[in-house]
Order: sequence, then structure tokens, then C-alpha cells
Amino acid sequence: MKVAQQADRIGRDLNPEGLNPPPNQIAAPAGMEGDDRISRLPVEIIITILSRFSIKDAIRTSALARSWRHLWTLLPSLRLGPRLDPLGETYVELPAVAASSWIERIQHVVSSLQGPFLVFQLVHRFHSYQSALLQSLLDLLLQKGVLDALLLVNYNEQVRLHLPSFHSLKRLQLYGCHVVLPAGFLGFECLTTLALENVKITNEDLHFLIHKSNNLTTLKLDVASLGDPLSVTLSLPLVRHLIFQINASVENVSVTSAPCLEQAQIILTKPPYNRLQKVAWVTLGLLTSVIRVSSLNLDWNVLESMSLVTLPFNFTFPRLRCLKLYLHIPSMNKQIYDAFICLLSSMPFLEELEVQLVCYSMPSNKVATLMRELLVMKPDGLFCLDQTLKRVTISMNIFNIVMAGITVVQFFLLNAKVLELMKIQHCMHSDAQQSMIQELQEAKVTSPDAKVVIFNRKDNVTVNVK
Amino acid sequence: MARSSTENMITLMSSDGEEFMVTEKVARECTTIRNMLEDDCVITNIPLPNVTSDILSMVIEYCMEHVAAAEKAAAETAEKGSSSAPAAAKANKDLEEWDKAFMNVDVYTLCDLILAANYLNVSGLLDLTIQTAANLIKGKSPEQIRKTFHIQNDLSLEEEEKIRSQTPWAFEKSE
Repeated sequence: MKVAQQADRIGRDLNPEGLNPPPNQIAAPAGMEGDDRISRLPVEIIITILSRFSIKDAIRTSALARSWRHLWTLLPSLRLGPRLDPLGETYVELPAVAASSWIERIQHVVSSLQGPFLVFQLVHRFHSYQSALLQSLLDLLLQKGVLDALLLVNYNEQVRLHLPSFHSLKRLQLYGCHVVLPAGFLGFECLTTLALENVKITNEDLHFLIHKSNNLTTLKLDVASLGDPLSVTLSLPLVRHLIFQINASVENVSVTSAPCLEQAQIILTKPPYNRLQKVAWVTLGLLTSVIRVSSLNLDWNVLESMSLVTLPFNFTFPRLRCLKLYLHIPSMNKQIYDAFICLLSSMPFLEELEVQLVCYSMPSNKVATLMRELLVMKPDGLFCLDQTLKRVTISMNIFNIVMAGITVVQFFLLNAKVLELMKIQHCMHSDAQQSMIQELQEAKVTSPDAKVVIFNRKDNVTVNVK
Repeated sequence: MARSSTENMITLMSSDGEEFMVTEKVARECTTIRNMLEDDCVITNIPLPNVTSDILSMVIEYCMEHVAAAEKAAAETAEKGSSSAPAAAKANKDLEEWDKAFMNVDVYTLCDLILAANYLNVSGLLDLTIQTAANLIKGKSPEQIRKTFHIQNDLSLEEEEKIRSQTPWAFEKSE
């Protein structure tokens, strides 16, 4: 426990009389009046206690007594804003735009803390005119050192930042910035996780940043280029997990070398009408350069986009076991169905499939009818349906799409011949669930081992249909 | 860990010489003891000179409750073939309630439990006690915290004023 040791060392320096009681003192009988036992706890334990609440609460302990005066400055991490996990859920509600005086307070706190930081996280809404203040904060952090994770998340206007080379940083997440690499940028030789989201950067800087961070194992990119359209060729020697968001400014993206890549996630920002076709080809290009993954997540709009390219696909995913995809119910049509079937036919060893049914607008009755027509069709010669697909999860969050959702469930019950588990996730009322169960009891199930489970997240109940 | 060792009994001896017989499984909840057992598997008598009998009995009570809860969950999973989410959620909630009631102690006992959990390395209990202590400090004024924990204020008025004036916003009631 590196930090605890350091805290202990500095703590002893600050309090030469020593804060650690000798062992026999711990065994003293309880209940002595005025016995200040908390102040005699080992410094690393007090620091752990101080880490459990806000920095404001921690600073307040400096006025308790002399021995508490500087304890808070040993805090190893500073997290401002909601707790974020790099690559985790990033959407958070934040009240108002950060006042500049608030940033100055943070600077005071950062300069008071001894450092180096284990984790530094700042999540708020900043204005572009606050760039200089944030830049000086970043430079201060560079002096103090950040050992594990640096997260700077801004949900307002983009701020412009020169990114210094943090020597030993392992995880970096930037959101809502315009990133510039300063002259003499050395790269991050220890960095394993890099997430750039809603970030503007030049093609050259992006290429240089990734090229110079050659220990990356996880990479998440949602970047727009400055000036030119984004064109990126990724060589990822150690990356195992890639998340790429194709936004309107992406002109070209390909992965030339990624021998360790296991998981890929592709997200699509819905492009303007005149770029639909172009984006579809960009998506297909990215998909064909990650065909050796074992797990693939085709997030928002990807399937829809793929329905615009010429079918069938002439590629196969030789190692793919898990697929997760999003299906936007109101836009469902024959082309999307064909793209879906085409995709399944390119995944002969698929074992696990999760389909997230989403709905941004009210689906018409026509859609449910159309889906019923499409999905009762029996696709022929799909290896994965015949031989490998064992677990299917269908998730739906909106009541409106239950009928459409049931057709998707029925499709797999009918066609997946070796299905073991069909899991249906929803969060609807119990009467909606009851009608779903009735519907499902009449469904034709081909696999003899298939078990159907309904998981209701709202009431937290599990129903075994079969 | 193929070796089945649930029936082995271990004797733990507190600083004041009291002996506690526990199953090896319960004793293993303490990482410190687990390491001792792994280094020397014939050991059956462990003196714990840093822990008094009243605190040790509480630590054992905690470990027994958590071992029993884990065993119950495992048995249910084995019986039904798969774990049922609602039952698991209820069991978790019950255990949380138990933890909460278990933490209904005075601050002296709390501090001693923190030290014992730290020394014996019982991560769940350490986390629970530290969080309980943190909850007693969170949102409180220095005066309230001093009163709760019997902390002697050895700062002069001027010193305290100086500390407060460096970060006045931290001492405001709410932002």
C-alpha cells in the first residue's frame, strides 16, 4: 500500500510525538471519559476515513486540534463531481456552470495537498473563457504528479488545453476539451487507458498521442478533427478493448494492426441525411478491420447504417462469441432485417447475443405488423442459429415496444436450435408482463433445452416461463 | 483451495488471555489469520496480543454472521441451479440491516473495532467501521466532531481563527 506508507511517513514527520499507539494501549478498557481514541488511530486509517466524504468535510477536520491540522493534506485522491469510472457511464446532471472562484478554490486545495495524487477527477461545466484557469490547474497537477487516473470532464463549451506529458499516469479521460499537444510532448509511457470523448484534436496530434502511448490496453475515441475531416489509422499493439464513436466529422477510420484486440464497440452519431451513405461505408470499413475480436458491441444506429451498404458482407468474424446490438424499433424495415440476418451469417461461432430494443419516437402499428411479418420468416442456413447460439437476451425499456419485442423473442425461440437461455429484461407493469407471459406460452420453441426467464428490473422479479 | 477444512477448529486467544474456539472457515475471514494458516497449516492456537476479549468476540460475531450468509447464498444457488436475483437482493439487504445494528456501538468500541479489523485484516468489517466513523464526521462542525470523539482542542483561539480563514468556504454551513 504505497500511499498509506507515504501518508504514514509524512504523518510521523508532522507529528514527531507519534500518532500510532503502542499495541498494549489499544487493549485499554473502553469507556474512559475524555479518551480521544480516534486521534490515536494510525494515520493511514484516518486518511481512509477522510477519503470517505467531500473535500469540504475533510478540510474542516483541520480545525479539530493540532494533530489534525495537516492530516487532510495527505489525502491521496481528489474527486470533484460525481464519481466516474473511466469508460463508465458518463452522463451526469450538474447544476450550474462552474464559477471561476470555484476553480480558484480547487487550485488552493490542489496546492495545499501534498501529492502525488493517486486519482484526480474534476467533473463540471466550464466555459471556454475558463481555459486558462483550467490550464494552470493542469500544470499544477503536473508538478504534484498524478499516479493512477486523471479525469477532466466538462459538459459545457469546449475548453482549450495543452496536454502535458504526465510521466507515470495510467488512466486518462478527457471530455469536452479541445486538446493540443505542446511542443516537445513526450507521450504517456505508462498509460493503459485513454478515453477522449467530445474532444477536438488535429489528425496529427491524435496520431502522435496514440503512437506515443504504446502501452494502451483500452482506447475510447469520440473525437472530431480541427479543420480537416477526421482521418485516423490506428496501430494498436496492446489494445484489448476499443470503443470508437463515429461522428459526423469522421472521414476515414481503420485499424491496421491490433493483435491483442478482444472487444470492440462501435457507436454512431446519427449523421445528416446527405452523409448517411458515406458514414455507412466508414462504419463497414471499421468493422472489417476488427473482425478478429471475440466480443462486439454495435451500439446506437450502427445496424441501421449498415443496412445502407450493399449486401451481403464478404467477411466473417472467425472468433466472435458475443454480440450486443441496438435495434431502433420505429425505423425497423426490410433492409435492416436483411442487414441483421447478414450480420448473423458472418458470425458462425456466435454463442451469446444481446439485443437492446430502443425507441426514440412512437412506433406506428405498422412497425409491429411489419416486424411480425419479417420475423416469422425462417432464415435458412445460418450456422450460428443452427449450431452455436446458446444465450439470448432481449432488453426493452419502453412499454410501447413490447409487441415488437415479443416478435424478436419469438424469432429466436423458433430459429435458435441449440438455445439454452432466453432472458427478457424489461421494467414494465405486472399486467403488461402477464400478457407477455401468455403470449410466450404459445410461442413455438425449437430447442429442447431452452429456458425462458423474464427479468423485471422495476419490481426485481424473475419469472420462469418454461 | 480444494482442501475441505470447514470442520477444523482454531483457538484464538485475546490479549487478556480469553480463548475463543472458532471454525477454520470463520477464522479465515481474517486475512492475517488466513496467511498464518497458509504458512503453517498445523497451527491451531493463535495468540492475538493486540485484541481484547470484548473486541475479539465482536469481530468473531461479525465473521460468523458473514460466513453464514455466504453459505446460505451458496446453498440456495446449488439447490436451484441458478441464483435468483430477488432472493439474493433480500439476503443482501438483511445482511446490511444486521451490519447497521452491529454498528450501534459507542465511539470507543468503534475505534477499537477499526484497529482490530485493520490488524486482523477483515476487509468487510474495516470498511464498515471506517464508513461508520466517516458518517459521524460528515457534515458536522469541528465542535460537534470534538464532542462526539472527545477530541481535546489544543489550538489557541488565534490558531483556530487562522485555520478557518484559510478556507472559509469549508466552514460555511452549506454552499
